[in-house]
Amino acid sequence: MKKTKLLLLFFLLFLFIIPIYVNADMGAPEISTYTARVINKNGAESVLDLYEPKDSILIPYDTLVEITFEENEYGMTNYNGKSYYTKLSDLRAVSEETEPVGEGVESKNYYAWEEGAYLYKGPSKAYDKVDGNIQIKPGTTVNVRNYIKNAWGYVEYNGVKGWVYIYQCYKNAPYKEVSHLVDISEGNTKIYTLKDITLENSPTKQEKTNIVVPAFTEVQYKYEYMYNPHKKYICIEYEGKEGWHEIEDVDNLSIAYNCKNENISLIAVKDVTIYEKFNEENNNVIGTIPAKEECDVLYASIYYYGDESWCYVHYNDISGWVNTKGEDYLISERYNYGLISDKYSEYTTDSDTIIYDNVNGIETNVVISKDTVLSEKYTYTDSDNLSSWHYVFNDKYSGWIKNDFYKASSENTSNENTLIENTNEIIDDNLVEEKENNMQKLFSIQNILIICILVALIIAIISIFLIKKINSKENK
Amino acid sequence: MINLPIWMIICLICTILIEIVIAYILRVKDKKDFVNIILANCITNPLLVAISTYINVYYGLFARRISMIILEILAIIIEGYIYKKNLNFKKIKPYILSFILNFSSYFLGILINHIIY
Repeated sequence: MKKTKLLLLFFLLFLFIIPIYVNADMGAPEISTYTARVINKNGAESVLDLYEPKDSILIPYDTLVEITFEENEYGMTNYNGKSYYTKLSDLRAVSEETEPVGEGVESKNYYAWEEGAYLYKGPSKAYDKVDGNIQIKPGTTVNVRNYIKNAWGYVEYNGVKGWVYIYQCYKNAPYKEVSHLVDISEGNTKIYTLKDITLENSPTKQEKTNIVVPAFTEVQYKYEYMYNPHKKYICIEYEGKEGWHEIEDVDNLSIAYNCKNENISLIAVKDVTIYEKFNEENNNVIGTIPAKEECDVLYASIYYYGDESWCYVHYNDISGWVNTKGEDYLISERYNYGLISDKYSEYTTDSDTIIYDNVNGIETNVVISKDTVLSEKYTYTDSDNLSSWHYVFNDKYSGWIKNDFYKASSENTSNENTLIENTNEIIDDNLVEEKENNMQKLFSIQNILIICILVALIIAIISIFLIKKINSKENK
Repeated sequence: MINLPIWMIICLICTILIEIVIAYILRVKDKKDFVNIILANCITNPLLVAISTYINVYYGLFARRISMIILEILAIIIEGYIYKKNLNFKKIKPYILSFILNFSSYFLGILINHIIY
Protein backbone atom coordinates (compact mmCIF):
# COMPACT_ATOMS: atom_id res chain seq x y z
CA MET A 1 0.00 0.00 0.00
CA LYS A 2 2.83 2.35 0.91
CA LYS A 3 4.60 1.44 -2.31
CA THR A 4 1.46 2.14 -4.30
CA LYS A 5 1.02 5.49 -2.66
CA LEU A 6 4.63 6.42 -3.29
CA LEU A 7 4.35 5.31 -6.89
CA LEU A 8 1.17 7.32 -7.27
CA LEU A 9 2.78 10.40 -5.80
CA PHE A 10 5.75 10.04 -8.09
CA PHE A 11 3.52 9.73 -11.10
CA LEU A 12 1.41 12.72 -10.20
CA LEU A 13 4.53 14.82 -9.76
CA PHE A 14 5.88 13.53 -13.05
CA LEU A 15 2.64 14.32 -14.81
CA PHE A 16 2.47 17.82 -13.45
CA ILE A 17 6.10 18.78 -13.77
CA ILE A 18 6.77 17.69 -17.33
CA PRO A 19 3.91 19.66 -18.97
CA ILE A 20 4.62 22.67 -16.77
CA TYR A 21 8.27 22.53 -17.76
CA VAL A 22 7.37 22.15 -21.40
CA ASN A 23 4.84 24.94 -21.25
CA ALA A 24 7.11 27.25 -19.32
CA ASP A 25 9.88 26.63 -21.76
CA MET A 26 7.73 27.41 -24.75
CA GLY A 27 7.61 31.07 -23.92
CA ALA A 28 11.14 31.50 -22.56
CA PRO A 29 12.84 34.44 -24.22
CA GLU A 30 16.24 34.15 -25.84
CA ILE A 31 18.56 36.02 -23.57
CA SER A 32 22.30 36.42 -23.37
CA THR A 33 22.88 36.64 -19.66
CA TYR A 34 26.01 38.17 -18.31
CA THR A 35 27.57 38.99 -14.98
CA ALA A 36 28.02 42.59 -13.93
CA ARG A 37 29.48 44.32 -10.91
CA VAL A 38 27.99 47.33 -9.15
CA ILE A 39 30.40 50.21 -9.68
CA ASN A 40 28.40 52.98 -8.11
CA LYS A 41 29.85 53.52 -4.65
CA ASN A 42 26.42 54.57 -3.39
CA GLY A 43 24.87 51.39 -4.69
CA ALA A 44 22.97 50.49 -7.85
CA GLU A 45 19.49 51.93 -8.02
CA SER A 46 16.99 49.11 -8.52
CA VAL A 47 13.22 49.03 -8.79
CA LEU A 48 10.69 46.23 -8.86
CA ASP A 49 8.58 47.76 -11.59
CA LEU A 50 9.92 50.14 -14.22
CA TYR A 51 6.61 51.88 -14.66
CA GLU A 52 5.70 52.16 -11.03
CA PRO A 53 9.05 52.86 -9.42
CA LYS A 54 8.17 52.43 -5.79
CA ASP A 55 9.95 49.87 -3.59
CA SER A 56 13.34 50.84 -4.91
CA ILE A 57 16.49 49.60 -3.27
CA LEU A 58 20.21 50.12 -3.65
CA ILE A 59 22.23 47.02 -4.44
CA PRO A 60 25.50 47.50 -2.57
CA TYR A 61 28.71 48.54 -4.25
CA ASP A 62 30.86 45.72 -5.66
CA THR A 63 28.01 43.19 -5.67
CA LEU A 64 28.02 40.75 -8.54
CA VAL A 65 24.67 40.40 -10.27
CA GLU A 66 23.44 38.30 -13.15
CA ILE A 67 21.67 40.34 -15.82
CA THR A 68 19.07 38.28 -17.63
CA PHE A 69 17.14 40.86 -19.53
CA GLU A 70 17.42 44.50 -20.54
CA GLU A 71 14.76 47.08 -20.97
CA ASN A 72 15.58 50.66 -21.86
CA GLU A 73 18.39 51.72 -19.52
CA TYR A 74 17.79 48.94 -17.00
CA GLY A 75 18.84 45.34 -16.61
CA MET A 76 16.82 42.72 -14.83
CA THR A 77 18.52 40.86 -12.05
CA ASN A 78 17.60 38.65 -9.16
CA TYR A 79 18.58 40.01 -5.78
CA ASN A 80 17.50 38.63 -2.44
CA GLY A 81 14.93 36.42 -4.08
CA LYS A 82 13.23 39.19 -6.04
CA SER A 83 13.59 40.46 -9.59
CA TYR A 84 14.75 44.04 -9.86
CA TYR A 85 15.40 46.44 -12.67
CA THR A 86 18.82 47.89 -12.05
CA LYS A 87 20.30 50.93 -13.74
CA LEU A 88 22.90 49.76 -16.22
CA SER A 89 24.96 52.87 -15.73
CA ASP A 90 25.59 51.73 -12.16
CA LEU A 91 26.95 48.42 -13.40
CA ARG A 92 29.92 47.24 -15.33
CA ALA A 93 30.06 43.89 -17.09
CA VAL A 94 32.67 41.55 -15.70
CA SER A 95 33.83 40.14 -19.04
CA GLU A 96 35.99 42.38 -21.17
CA GLU A 97 34.20 42.12 -24.47
CA THR A 98 32.21 39.64 -26.42
CA GLU A 99 32.34 38.86 -30.05
CA PRO A 100 29.46 37.19 -31.79
CA VAL A 101 29.79 33.57 -32.74
CA GLY A 102 28.82 32.31 -36.14
CA GLU A 103 27.13 34.05 -38.99
CA GLY A 104 24.40 35.69 -37.03
CA VAL A 105 20.67 35.56 -37.14
CA GLU A 106 19.96 38.50 -39.35
CA SER A 107 21.83 41.08 -41.30
CA LYS A 108 19.99 44.34 -41.59
CA ASN A 109 20.76 47.91 -42.38
CA TYR A 110 20.16 50.48 -39.69
CA TYR A 111 20.02 54.18 -39.93
CA ALA A 112 21.51 56.28 -37.20
CA TRP A 113 20.06 59.71 -36.73
CA GLU A 114 20.74 62.92 -35.02
CA GLU A 115 22.72 61.75 -32.04
CA GLY A 116 24.22 58.69 -33.64
CA ALA A 117 24.99 55.56 -31.69
CA TYR A 118 28.01 54.67 -29.58
CA LEU A 119 29.91 51.45 -30.05
CA TYR A 120 30.26 49.30 -26.97
CA LYS A 121 32.53 46.39 -26.21
CA GLY A 122 29.62 44.13 -25.39
CA PRO A 123 25.89 43.93 -26.00
CA SER A 124 24.95 46.06 -23.05
CA LYS A 125 25.51 49.52 -21.68
CA ALA A 126 27.08 47.78 -18.74
CA TYR A 127 30.10 47.23 -20.95
CA ASP A 128 32.64 49.93 -21.64
CA LYS A 129 32.44 51.92 -24.81
CA VAL A 130 35.06 50.98 -27.38
CA ASP A 131 38.32 52.84 -27.11
CA GLY A 132 38.01 56.32 -28.46
CA ASN A 133 34.30 56.65 -27.66
CA ILE A 134 33.43 55.92 -31.27
CA GLN A 135 30.04 57.21 -32.25
CA ILE A 136 28.29 56.37 -35.49
CA LYS A 137 27.76 59.63 -37.29
CA PRO A 138 24.14 60.73 -37.60
CA GLY A 139 22.69 59.89 -40.98
CA THR A 140 24.95 56.88 -41.47
CA THR A 141 23.68 53.49 -42.45
CA VAL A 142 25.39 50.52 -40.85
CA ASN A 143 25.05 46.85 -41.52
CA VAL A 144 24.25 44.94 -38.40
CA ARG A 145 24.90 41.27 -37.85
CA ASN A 146 24.21 39.07 -34.89
CA TYR A 147 21.14 40.91 -33.94
CA ILE A 148 20.05 39.65 -30.54
CA LYS A 149 16.89 40.07 -28.63
CA ASN A 150 18.19 42.71 -26.31
CA ALA A 151 18.31 44.93 -29.41
CA TRP A 152 22.03 45.06 -29.74
CA GLY A 153 23.82 44.51 -33.02
CA TYR A 154 27.44 43.87 -33.85
CA VAL A 155 28.75 46.28 -36.47
CA GLU A 156 31.91 47.34 -38.15
CA TYR A 157 32.16 51.07 -38.51
CA ASN A 158 35.16 52.82 -39.98
CA GLY A 159 37.27 49.75 -39.29
CA VAL A 160 36.21 49.49 -35.67
CA LYS A 161 34.10 46.60 -34.47
CA GLY A 162 31.69 46.85 -31.63
CA TRP A 163 28.15 46.54 -30.41
CA VAL A 164 25.54 49.17 -30.98
CA TYR A 165 22.23 49.50 -29.21
CA ILE A 166 19.74 49.33 -32.05
CA TYR A 167 17.20 51.43 -30.24
CA GLN A 168 19.77 54.16 -30.01
CA CYS A 169 19.56 54.39 -33.74
CA TYR A 170 16.07 55.73 -33.25
CA LYS A 171 16.06 58.55 -30.81
CA ASN A 172 13.03 58.62 -28.56
CA ALA A 173 11.71 55.48 -30.15
CA PRO A 174 8.42 54.60 -28.52
CA TYR A 175 8.44 51.71 -26.12
CA LYS A 176 5.85 49.57 -27.80
CA GLU A 177 7.08 49.80 -31.32
CA VAL A 178 6.18 46.88 -33.48
CA SER A 179 9.26 46.92 -35.60
CA HIS A 180 12.34 49.03 -35.33
CA LEU A 181 13.93 47.67 -38.45
CA VAL A 182 14.74 50.05 -41.20
CA ASP A 183 14.78 48.44 -44.57
CA ILE A 184 16.29 50.00 -47.58
CA SER A 185 13.99 49.75 -50.53
CA GLU A 186 15.59 49.43 -53.89
CA GLY A 187 13.32 50.24 -56.75
CA ASN A 188 10.34 48.59 -55.20
CA THR A 189 8.11 51.58 -55.29
CA LYS A 190 7.37 54.70 -57.17
CA ILE A 191 6.33 57.57 -55.02
CA TYR A 192 4.74 60.70 -56.26
CA THR A 193 3.64 63.69 -54.33
CA LEU A 194 0.10 64.79 -54.97
CA LYS A 195 0.56 68.14 -53.31
CA ASP A 196 3.51 70.17 -52.05
CA ILE A 197 4.80 68.42 -48.96
CA THR A 198 7.29 69.45 -46.31
CA LEU A 199 9.43 66.63 -45.03
CA GLU A 200 10.13 65.94 -41.38
CA ASN A 201 13.54 65.46 -39.87
CA SER A 202 12.80 62.06 -38.32
CA PRO A 203 9.85 59.74 -37.84
CA THR A 204 10.00 60.07 -34.09
CA LYS A 205 10.56 63.77 -33.66
CA GLN A 206 8.56 64.85 -36.70
CA GLU A 207 9.89 68.36 -36.79
CA LYS A 208 9.48 70.09 -40.10
CA THR A 209 12.55 70.66 -42.20
CA ASN A 210 12.97 73.22 -44.95
CA ILE A 211 12.76 70.53 -47.62
CA VAL A 212 9.63 71.08 -49.69
CA VAL A 213 8.84 68.63 -52.43
CA PRO A 214 6.57 70.10 -55.09
CA ALA A 215 3.39 68.41 -56.20
CA PHE A 216 3.57 65.67 -58.80
CA THR A 217 7.22 64.96 -58.23
CA GLU A 218 8.61 61.48 -58.28
CA VAL A 219 10.83 60.91 -55.27
CA GLN A 220 13.16 58.15 -54.27
CA TYR A 221 12.16 55.98 -51.38
CA LYS A 222 15.06 54.95 -49.22
CA TYR A 223 13.99 53.65 -45.83
CA GLU A 224 10.92 52.90 -43.90
CA TYR A 225 10.23 52.88 -40.20
CA MET A 226 7.19 51.57 -38.44
CA TYR A 227 6.36 53.96 -35.65
CA ASN A 228 3.44 51.82 -34.56
CA PRO A 229 1.08 49.43 -36.37
CA HIS A 230 -0.91 52.38 -37.69
CA LYS A 231 1.89 54.70 -38.67
CA LYS A 232 4.73 54.01 -41.00
CA TYR A 233 7.24 56.58 -42.13
CA ILE A 234 9.44 56.56 -45.17
CA CYS A 235 12.67 58.34 -45.79
CA ILE A 236 12.42 60.24 -49.02
CA GLU A 237 15.30 61.54 -51.03
CA TYR A 238 14.76 64.66 -53.08
CA GLU A 239 17.48 66.61 -54.85
CA GLY A 240 20.18 65.09 -52.68
CA LYS A 241 18.38 65.82 -49.43
CA GLU A 242 16.55 63.43 -47.14
CA GLY A 243 13.49 63.79 -45.04
CA TRP A 244 10.70 61.71 -43.61
CA HIS A 245 7.01 61.53 -44.26
CA GLU A 246 4.14 59.33 -43.25
CA ILE A 247 3.54 56.68 -45.90
CA GLU A 248 -0.21 56.61 -45.52
CA ASP A 249 -0.71 60.27 -46.08
CA VAL A 250 -2.97 59.51 -49.01
CA ASP A 251 -3.89 63.13 -49.56
CA ASN A 252 -0.29 64.02 -50.28
CA LEU A 253 1.44 60.92 -51.48
CA SER A 254 0.70 58.39 -54.14
CA ILE A 255 2.52 55.13 -53.99
CA ALA A 256 2.77 52.54 -56.66
CA TYR A 257 4.42 49.23 -55.86
CA ASN A 258 6.55 47.10 -58.10
CA CYS A 259 4.37 44.46 -59.74
CA LYS A 260 6.87 43.12 -62.20
CA ASN A 261 6.99 39.73 -60.56
CA GLU A 262 3.26 39.54 -59.95
CA ASN A 263 2.30 38.79 -63.56
CA ILE A 264 -0.44 41.37 -63.59
CA SER A 265 -1.83 42.56 -66.85
CA LEU A 266 -4.27 45.21 -67.80
CA ILE A 267 -6.79 44.91 -70.57
CA ALA A 268 -8.37 47.92 -72.16
CA VAL A 269 -12.12 47.81 -72.59
CA LYS A 270 -11.97 50.95 -74.65
CA ASP A 271 -8.97 52.91 -75.91
CA VAL A 272 -6.79 53.88 -72.97
CA THR A 273 -4.47 56.86 -72.92
CA ILE A 274 -0.92 56.48 -71.67
CA TYR A 275 0.53 59.54 -69.99
CA GLU A 276 4.11 60.44 -69.35
CA LYS A 277 3.36 61.34 -65.72
CA PHE A 278 0.70 60.02 -63.45
CA ASN A 279 -1.28 63.18 -63.11
CA GLU A 280 -3.00 63.83 -66.38
CA GLU A 281 -3.46 67.53 -65.83
CA ASN A 282 0.20 68.17 -66.32
CA ASN A 283 0.96 65.34 -68.65
CA ASN A 284 1.96 64.66 -72.15
CA VAL A 285 0.12 61.89 -73.88
CA ILE A 286 2.68 59.41 -75.10
CA GLY A 287 0.55 56.61 -76.38
CA THR A 288 -2.72 54.69 -76.51
CA ILE A 289 -3.68 51.15 -75.67
CA PRO A 290 -6.37 50.13 -78.16
CA ALA A 291 -9.51 48.42 -76.93
CA LYS A 292 -9.16 44.73 -76.18
CA GLU A 293 -5.38 45.03 -76.11
CA GLU A 294 -3.45 43.83 -73.15
CA CYS A 295 -0.33 45.21 -71.51
CA ASP A 296 1.96 44.52 -68.58
CA VAL A 297 1.52 46.39 -65.35
CA LEU A 298 4.83 47.34 -63.82
CA TYR A 299 3.78 49.45 -60.84
CA ALA A 300 0.42 49.76 -59.20
CA SER A 301 -1.19 50.86 -56.03
CA ILE A 302 -2.36 47.98 -53.89
CA TYR A 303 -4.28 50.00 -51.39
CA TYR A 304 -7.73 51.38 -51.79
CA TYR A 305 -7.10 55.08 -51.73
CA GLY A 306 -10.43 56.17 -53.09
CA ASP A 307 -10.96 57.16 -56.67
CA GLU A 308 -7.47 58.30 -57.46
CA SER A 309 -5.52 55.41 -58.86
CA TRP A 310 -2.89 55.09 -61.46
CA CYS A 311 -0.71 52.33 -62.66
CA TYR A 312 2.48 52.27 -64.63
CA VAL A 313 2.32 50.05 -67.67
CA HIS A 314 4.38 48.88 -70.55
CA TYR A 315 2.77 48.54 -73.97
CA ASN A 316 4.60 48.20 -77.28
CA ASP A 317 7.85 49.89 -76.16
CA ILE A 318 5.95 52.63 -74.40
CA SER A 319 6.10 52.92 -70.62
CA GLY A 320 3.85 55.33 -68.88
CA TRP A 321 0.92 55.94 -66.60
CA VAL A 322 -2.70 55.08 -67.12
CA ASN A 323 -5.60 56.23 -65.08
CA THR A 324 -7.53 53.23 -63.85
CA LYS A 325 -10.28 54.96 -61.99
CA GLY A 326 -12.70 55.01 -64.85
CA GLU A 327 -14.73 51.86 -65.26
CA ASP A 328 -15.51 52.78 -68.80
CA TYR A 329 -11.93 52.44 -69.73
CA LEU A 330 -10.82 49.32 -68.05
CA ILE A 331 -12.08 46.20 -66.57
CA SER A 332 -11.55 47.13 -63.04
CA GLU A 333 -11.37 45.12 -59.93
CA ARG A 334 -11.87 47.68 -57.25
CA TYR A 335 -9.96 45.44 -54.96
CA ASN A 336 -6.98 45.71 -57.19
CA TYR A 337 -7.58 48.98 -58.93
CA GLY A 338 -8.13 48.15 -62.51
CA LEU A 339 -5.71 45.29 -62.61
CA ILE A 340 -6.55 41.82 -63.65
CA SER A 341 -4.60 38.88 -62.47
CA ASP A 342 -3.50 36.69 -65.24
CA LYS A 343 -5.34 33.64 -64.05
CA TYR A 344 -8.18 31.91 -65.78
CA SER A 345 -10.68 29.21 -65.08
CA GLU A 346 -12.90 26.93 -67.02
CA TYR A 347 -16.21 28.30 -68.18
CA THR A 348 -19.05 26.22 -69.65
CA THR A 349 -21.90 27.89 -71.47
CA ASP A 350 -25.28 26.86 -70.18
CA SER A 351 -27.13 28.00 -73.29
CA ASP A 352 -26.41 29.33 -76.76
CA THR A 353 -24.46 32.49 -76.01
CA ILE A 354 -23.79 35.56 -78.11
CA ILE A 355 -20.31 37.05 -78.20
CA TYR A 356 -19.95 40.78 -77.72
CA ASP A 357 -17.10 42.87 -79.01
CA ASN A 358 -16.60 44.51 -75.66
CA VAL A 359 -18.00 44.98 -72.16
CA ASN A 360 -21.36 46.70 -72.66
CA GLY A 361 -20.45 46.62 -76.32
CA ILE A 362 -22.04 45.54 -79.59
CA GLU A 363 -23.33 42.07 -80.24
CA THR A 364 -21.45 40.21 -82.91
CA ASN A 365 -23.06 37.53 -85.02
CA VAL A 366 -20.99 34.81 -83.38
CA VAL A 367 -22.90 32.43 -81.17
CA ILE A 368 -21.27 29.90 -78.87
CA SER A 369 -23.39 26.79 -78.54
CA LYS A 370 -24.54 25.39 -75.24
CA ASP A 371 -22.14 23.28 -73.15
CA THR A 372 -19.06 24.62 -74.88
CA VAL A 373 -16.04 24.58 -72.59
CA LEU A 374 -13.88 27.69 -72.75
CA SER A 375 -11.14 29.34 -70.76
CA GLU A 376 -12.21 32.42 -68.89
CA LYS A 377 -9.59 35.07 -68.49
CA TYR A 378 -11.31 38.16 -67.24
CA THR A 379 -14.47 39.02 -65.50
CA TYR A 380 -16.30 42.25 -64.95
CA THR A 381 -19.48 43.14 -63.14
CA ASP A 382 -21.65 46.07 -63.97
CA SER A 383 -22.14 48.50 -61.15
CA ASP A 384 -25.81 47.58 -61.01
CA ASN A 385 -24.74 44.01 -60.33
CA LEU A 386 -27.39 42.54 -62.56
CA SER A 387 -25.00 41.19 -65.11
CA SER A 388 -21.47 40.03 -65.41
CA TRP A 389 -19.13 39.94 -68.33
CA HIS A 390 -16.59 37.25 -69.07
CA TYR A 391 -13.76 37.26 -71.53
CA VAL A 392 -13.58 33.70 -72.80
CA PHE A 393 -11.62 31.94 -75.45
CA ASN A 394 -10.77 28.62 -76.97
CA ASP A 395 -9.37 27.50 -80.32
CA LYS A 396 -12.48 28.61 -82.10
CA TYR A 397 -13.92 31.56 -80.21
CA SER A 398 -12.75 34.59 -78.29
CA GLY A 399 -14.64 37.54 -77.00
CA TRP A 400 -16.99 38.77 -74.30
CA ILE A 401 -20.09 37.04 -73.15
CA LYS A 402 -22.76 38.49 -70.97
CA ASN A 403 -24.22 36.59 -68.12
CA ASP A 404 -26.92 37.70 -65.79
CA PHE A 405 -25.85 35.02 -63.37
CA TYR A 406 -22.47 33.56 -62.81
CA LYS A 407 -21.98 29.87 -63.26
CA ALA A 408 -18.75 28.07 -62.40
CA SER A 409 -17.52 25.12 -64.42
CA SER A 410 -17.64 21.36 -63.81
CA GLU A 411 -17.35 21.62 -60.01
CA ASN A 412 -20.84 23.06 -59.81
CA THR A 413 -23.12 20.62 -61.54
CA SER A 414 -26.39 22.10 -60.33
CA ASN A 415 -28.50 24.23 -62.60
CA GLU A 416 -28.96 26.95 -60.04
CA ASN A 417 -27.78 30.41 -60.99
CA THR A 418 -25.83 32.48 -58.57
CA LEU A 419 -26.45 36.18 -58.17
CA ILE A 420 -23.48 38.40 -57.61
CA GLU A 421 -24.02 40.44 -54.47
CA ASN A 422 -22.20 43.52 -53.11
CA THR A 423 -23.26 46.44 -55.19
CA ASN A 424 -19.95 48.22 -55.00
CA GLU A 425 -17.71 45.26 -55.54
CA ILE A 426 -16.56 43.73 -58.75
CA ILE A 427 -16.11 40.06 -58.15
CA ASP A 428 -13.17 38.09 -59.36
CA ASP A 429 -14.10 34.65 -60.64
CA ASN A 430 -11.57 33.16 -58.31
CA LEU A 431 -13.20 34.85 -55.31
CA VAL A 432 -16.63 33.42 -56.16
CA GLU A 433 -15.17 30.00 -56.76
CA GLU A 434 -13.38 30.24 -53.43
CA LYS A 435 -16.64 31.22 -51.71
CA GLU A 436 -18.41 28.25 -53.24
CA ASN A 437 -15.58 25.94 -52.29
CA ASN A 438 -15.72 27.21 -48.73
CA MET A 439 -19.46 26.60 -48.53
CA GLN A 440 -19.00 23.09 -49.82
CA LYS A 441 -16.20 22.49 -47.38
CA LEU A 442 -18.28 23.70 -44.42
CA PHE A 443 -21.17 21.54 -45.46
CA SER A 444 -18.97 18.48 -45.70
CA ILE A 445 -17.25 19.29 -42.36
CA GLN A 446 -20.67 19.40 -40.75
CA ASN A 447 -21.55 16.05 -42.27
CA ILE A 448 -18.34 14.46 -41.09
CA LEU A 449 -18.74 15.80 -37.56
CA ILE A 450 -22.29 14.59 -37.25
CA ILE A 451 -21.36 11.17 -38.59
CA CYS A 452 -18.45 10.94 -36.17
CA ILE A 453 -20.65 11.83 -33.22
CA LEU A 454 -23.19 9.22 -34.30
CA VAL A 455 -20.51 6.58 -34.71
CA ALA A 456 -19.11 7.47 -31.28
CA LEU A 457 -22.60 7.03 -29.81
CA ILE A 458 -22.98 3.65 -31.46
CA ILE A 459 -19.58 2.54 -30.16
CA ALA A 460 -20.58 3.73 -26.68
CA ILE A 461 -23.84 1.76 -26.80
CA ILE A 462 -22.08 -1.37 -27.99
CA SER A 463 -19.46 -0.99 -25.27
CA ILE A 464 -22.13 -0.60 -22.59
CA PHE A 465 -23.79 -3.72 -23.87
CA LEU A 466 -20.48 -5.61 -23.85
CA ILE A 467 -19.66 -4.47 -20.31
CA LYS A 468 -23.02 -5.72 -19.10
CA LYS A 469 -22.58 -9.01 -20.88
CA ILE A 470 -19.07 -9.64 -19.60
CA ASN A 471 -19.91 -8.75 -16.04
CA SER A 472 -23.20 -10.64 -15.94
CA LYS A 473 -21.37 -13.76 -17.19
CA GLU A 474 -18.86 -13.32 -14.43
CA ASN A 475 -21.61 -12.98 -11.85
CA LYS A 476 -23.21 -16.19 -13.07
CA MET B 1 -11.32 17.26 -41.30
CA ILE B 2 -11.69 14.23 -43.52
CA ASN B 3 -9.08 12.66 -41.26
CA LEU B 4 -11.23 13.10 -38.16
CA PRO B 5 -12.37 9.44 -37.99
CA ILE B 6 -8.76 8.32 -38.29
CA TRP B 7 -7.78 10.85 -35.68
CA MET B 8 -10.47 9.56 -33.35
CA ILE B 9 -9.21 6.00 -33.74
CA ILE B 10 -5.65 7.11 -33.00
CA CYS B 11 -6.82 9.03 -29.91
CA LEU B 12 -8.77 6.03 -28.66
CA ILE B 13 -5.88 3.62 -29.17
CA CYS B 14 -3.38 5.97 -27.49
CA THR B 15 -5.72 6.57 -24.56
CA ILE B 16 -6.36 2.85 -24.09
CA LEU B 17 -2.65 2.05 -24.26
CA ILE B 18 -1.69 4.73 -21.76
CA GLU B 19 -4.46 3.78 -19.34
CA ILE B 20 -3.66 0.08 -19.59
CA VAL B 21 -0.02 0.76 -18.80
CA ILE B 22 -0.88 3.04 -15.88
CA ALA B 23 -3.41 0.51 -14.62
CA TYR B 24 -0.78 -2.21 -14.81
CA ILE B 25 1.65 -0.06 -12.87
CA LEU B 26 -1.03 0.49 -10.26
CA ARG B 27 -1.20 -3.29 -9.90
CA VAL B 28 -4.39 -4.01 -11.73
CA LYS B 29 -3.99 -7.67 -12.60
CA ASP B 30 -7.33 -9.16 -13.50
CA LYS B 31 -7.80 -9.51 -17.27
CA LYS B 32 -11.48 -8.74 -16.92
CA ASP B 33 -10.58 -5.46 -15.25
CA PHE B 34 -8.43 -4.52 -18.24
CA VAL B 35 -11.30 -5.34 -20.57
CA ASN B 36 -13.59 -3.14 -18.49
CA ILE B 37 -11.09 -0.30 -18.64
CA ILE B 38 -10.86 -0.66 -22.42
CA LEU B 39 -14.61 -0.72 -22.85
CA ALA B 40 -15.09 2.21 -20.48
CA ASN B 41 -12.74 4.25 -22.64
CA CYS B 42 -14.61 3.13 -25.75
CA ILE B 43 -17.71 4.67 -24.21
CA THR B 44 -16.20 8.02 -23.28
CA ASN B 45 -13.24 8.75 -25.51
CA PRO B 46 -14.77 8.81 -29.03
CA LEU B 47 -17.68 10.93 -27.83
CA LEU B 48 -15.32 13.29 -26.06
CA VAL B 49 -13.12 13.77 -29.13
CA ALA B 50 -16.06 14.16 -31.54
CA ILE B 51 -17.97 16.62 -29.35
CA SER B 52 -14.90 18.73 -28.56
CA THR B 53 -14.00 18.89 -32.25
CA TYR B 54 -17.54 19.95 -33.10
CA ILE B 55 -17.36 22.69 -30.51
CA ASN B 56 -13.95 23.77 -31.79
CA VAL B 57 -15.17 24.12 -35.38
CA TYR B 58 -18.33 26.03 -34.57
CA TYR B 59 -17.52 27.93 -31.39
CA GLY B 60 -13.75 28.36 -31.41
CA LEU B 61 -10.75 27.32 -29.41
CA PHE B 62 -11.73 28.94 -26.14
CA ALA B 63 -15.08 27.16 -26.09
CA ARG B 64 -13.30 23.95 -26.89
CA ARG B 65 -11.00 24.33 -23.92
CA ILE B 66 -13.91 24.94 -21.57
CA SER B 67 -15.83 22.01 -23.00
CA MET B 68 -12.79 19.74 -22.63
CA ILE B 69 -12.71 20.39 -18.90
CA ILE B 70 -16.41 19.63 -18.57
CA LEU B 71 -16.22 16.57 -20.78
CA GLU B 72 -13.19 15.21 -18.96
CA ILE B 73 -14.98 15.58 -15.64
CA LEU B 74 -17.98 13.75 -17.07
CA ALA B 75 -15.71 11.04 -18.44
CA ILE B 76 -14.12 10.59 -15.01
CA ILE B 77 -17.53 10.27 -13.39
CA ILE B 78 -18.85 7.82 -15.99
CA GLU B 79 -15.74 5.66 -15.96
CA GLY B 80 -15.61 5.83 -12.18
CA TYR B 81 -19.14 4.51 -12.04
CA ILE B 82 -18.28 1.68 -14.42
CA TYR B 83 -15.25 0.76 -12.37
CA LYS B 84 -17.30 0.86 -9.17
CA LYS B 85 -19.85 -1.54 -10.58
CA ASN B 86 -17.54 -3.90 -12.44
CA LEU B 87 -13.92 -3.82 -11.37
CA ASN B 88 -12.45 -6.47 -9.11
CA PHE B 89 -9.54 -4.19 -8.33
CA LYS B 90 -10.26 -2.68 -4.92
CA LYS B 91 -6.92 -1.24 -3.84
CA ILE B 92 -7.79 2.17 -5.13
CA LYS B 93 -11.24 3.68 -4.96
CA PRO B 94 -12.93 3.53 -8.36
CA TYR B 95 -13.45 7.25 -8.85
CA ILE B 96 -9.89 7.99 -7.82
CA LEU B 97 -8.67 5.29 -10.18
CA SER B 98 -10.73 6.85 -12.96
CA PHE B 99 -9.29 10.25 -12.11
CA ILE B 100 -5.70 8.98 -12.17
CA LEU B 101 -6.13 7.13 -15.45
CA ASN B 102 -7.85 10.00 -17.21
CA PHE B 103 -5.49 12.61 -15.84
CA SER B 104 -2.43 10.67 -16.91
CA SER B 105 -3.75 9.99 -20.39
CA TYR B 106 -4.68 13.66 -20.78
CA PHE B 107 -1.31 15.03 -19.71
CA LEU B 108 0.73 12.45 -21.51
CA GLY B 109 -1.31 13.33 -24.55
CA ILE B 110 -0.29 16.98 -24.21
CA LEU B 111 3.32 15.95 -23.81
CA ILE B 112 3.26 13.75 -26.86
CA ASN B 113 1.63 16.59 -28.78
CA HIS B 114 4.40 18.98 -27.77
CA ILE B 115 7.05 16.53 -28.80
CA ILE B 116 5.51 15.80 -32.15
CA TYR B 117 4.57 19.36 -33.06
